[in-house]
Amino acid sequence: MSRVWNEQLKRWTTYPYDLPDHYDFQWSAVFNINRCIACQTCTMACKSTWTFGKGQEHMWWNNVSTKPYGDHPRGFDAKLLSMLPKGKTIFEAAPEGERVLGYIPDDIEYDYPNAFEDSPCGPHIGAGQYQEIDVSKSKTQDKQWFFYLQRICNHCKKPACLAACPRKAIYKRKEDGIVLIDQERCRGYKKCIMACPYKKTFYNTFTKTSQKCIGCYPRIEQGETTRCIAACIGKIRLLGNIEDEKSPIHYLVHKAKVALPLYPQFGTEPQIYYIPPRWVNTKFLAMMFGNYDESKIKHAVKTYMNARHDIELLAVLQLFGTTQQIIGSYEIIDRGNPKEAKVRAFDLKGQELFVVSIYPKVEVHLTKDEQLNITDAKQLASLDIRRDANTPWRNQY
Amino acid sequence: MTGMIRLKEPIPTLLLFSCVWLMVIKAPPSADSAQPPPTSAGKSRVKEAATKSPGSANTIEMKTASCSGNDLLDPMCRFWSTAPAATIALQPQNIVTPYGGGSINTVLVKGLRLGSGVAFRLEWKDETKDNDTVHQTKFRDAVAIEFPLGTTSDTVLAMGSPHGPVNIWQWKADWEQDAPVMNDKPYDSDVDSPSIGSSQSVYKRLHVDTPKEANTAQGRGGPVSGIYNLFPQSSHHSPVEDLVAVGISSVTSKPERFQTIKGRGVWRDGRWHVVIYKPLVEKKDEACPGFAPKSTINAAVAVWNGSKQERNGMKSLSNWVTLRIH
Repeated sequence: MSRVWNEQLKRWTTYPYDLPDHYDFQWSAVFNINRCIACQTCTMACKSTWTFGKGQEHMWWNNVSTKPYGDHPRGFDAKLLSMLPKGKTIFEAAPEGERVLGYIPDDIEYDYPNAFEDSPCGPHIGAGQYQEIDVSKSKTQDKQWFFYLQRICNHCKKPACLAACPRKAIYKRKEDGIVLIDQERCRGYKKCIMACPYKKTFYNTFTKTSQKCIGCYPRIEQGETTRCIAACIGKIRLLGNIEDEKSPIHYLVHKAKVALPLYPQFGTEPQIYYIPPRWVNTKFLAMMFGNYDESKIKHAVKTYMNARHDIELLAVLQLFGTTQQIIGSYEIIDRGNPKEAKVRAFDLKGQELFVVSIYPKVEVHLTKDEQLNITDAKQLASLDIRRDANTPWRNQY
Repeated sequence: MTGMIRLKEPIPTLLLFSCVWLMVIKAPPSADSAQPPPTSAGKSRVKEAATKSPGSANTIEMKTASCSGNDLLDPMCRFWSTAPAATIALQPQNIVTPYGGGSINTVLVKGLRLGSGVAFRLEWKDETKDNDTVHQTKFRDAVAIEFPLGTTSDTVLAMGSPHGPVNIWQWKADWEQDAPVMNDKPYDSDVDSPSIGSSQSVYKRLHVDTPKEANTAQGRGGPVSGIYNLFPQSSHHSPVEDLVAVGISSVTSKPERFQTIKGRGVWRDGRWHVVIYKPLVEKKDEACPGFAPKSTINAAVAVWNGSKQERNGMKSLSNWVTLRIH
């Protein structure tokens, strides 16, 4: 076991191998949960590209589930959290004779990948009643809530699959940090499936080998984003190199601290970062994205909600889903003039990709709520359906 | 240095092998130094147990016998009763993680020189016949014999070392031609659903519009093709795989032209009876022990119990035993 620094947990942990702390390029992405509508376009883009063959029927390298109840394989996170002693990583909590703490899901756990879709959590709301939203307090405390969780392989910096493979068939690419299973060396021992805390390695029942998300490396090598990110119609995803300080990903994660990793307590340093949903119970989000630290969630949500007054954050949010090329860096033009301010994006080689307005022009019509028969603007505002001509970029959220 | 196997004359060095071929074995991608080191306690535990187990043998006597073609792979054939049996003690593997095994205590081993090859018969108690590798939590029963290939006398038991490579012959229950995986046929997701939980076959007719080549083991359903790996093959010409290893994590299938070992396993009355037959035909560059008459070589046995989720290093294994060839 080696002593390694875990940047997300801010402490020294153990890992079976010495891996570099730093990569020149680390494949990384930010998913904005607030914008996702669970249309599953990403899921089908991935499925039709990589996992349409025999033996891959149960594989969802990309899936979008409804939290808190759903996920694929079913209940994977609740199960591992219940096994994991608090304050320990899955490497530190490994049982005698194992390198990683984990389990192999049974067949039925891979069935029904969209179970609990759109199922909310919270008190029962009777027929004819509506949920009250109190905007005066906090928007993170809706009584009834659910949110969509978009998941692909996290291409972790301390991959549990790599640690567990007795064959050393799994490797992390030096050039981009993508984690791959060598199909020539894999002998189907399923140790990676047992070890991956996100259950994003899958056993192919036809080839008798394990397979996983390949980070669309053939596209990455061409400077393009992955299929799931390119296909996202909600523009919720952005891919980039987190190690590069000029990258929008680096800004969102390390400067704005608006995007947080999924279950950092597992200790694998996952490289998908999420902008947490603004309407969800903070304690629950802290368990998922903050290593039980609610202040991280509060900061992220507050920063995100304040984006209209934060020109750089708003500029970076405009980059989501705008191009199929990987954005290497960006610059803000006319920063002092909100009406004319634009953001210019560059690819990994520094070539200009596009220029887009930071404050998009939106035509706004005051209307009435037909269902509640409310026309008074003040009442509309109190119901958080404000149509304020001074904040036309509210559609961002 | 290129060695060749010569069967018709005495060979002074018992373990001739080819360094040329061994050099093409892919080294594991990660640095070997990063491998969790074997525990010295683990090493001594294995050594101690294998030598102290009461009633266990540490020598396999290998005589010569003759048999007709069909009987060669029949573990129940009478000529096996003439071969001296050795009861080899097995212990859980706790040299390198993941630890495991221990559910099989002993294996009965017989060896014979048969015609132009060598055959081993291995028999052990296993209450469950496990040849299903389709379901997520299922694992196969298997058995393997390991031989040192190097000229040193202290070849590392646990998968050899770069200076002392080993040759491994592994029989796998699910590689048997008649392995009834689902509905007495090889698994086919167009017909069978891999889910036991749901009675409906949710994947039936799922692949009607997928390219034909993607639905073969060679096509491998998309992301990978044109690689050498024996596992994806939907049918195996033999249930025995011929492997070489130069250390932990390095075990590698020999190239297809060297995969000549045959075998057959019969599960009856809670016991596996497995025959492994290796034709000793001279093949250039092949890494294989010589089995020269009037010689002795080392061998070790490992058994995997699928119902106990045993695979890879999670196995019951013996210490080195002596194989005395008459």
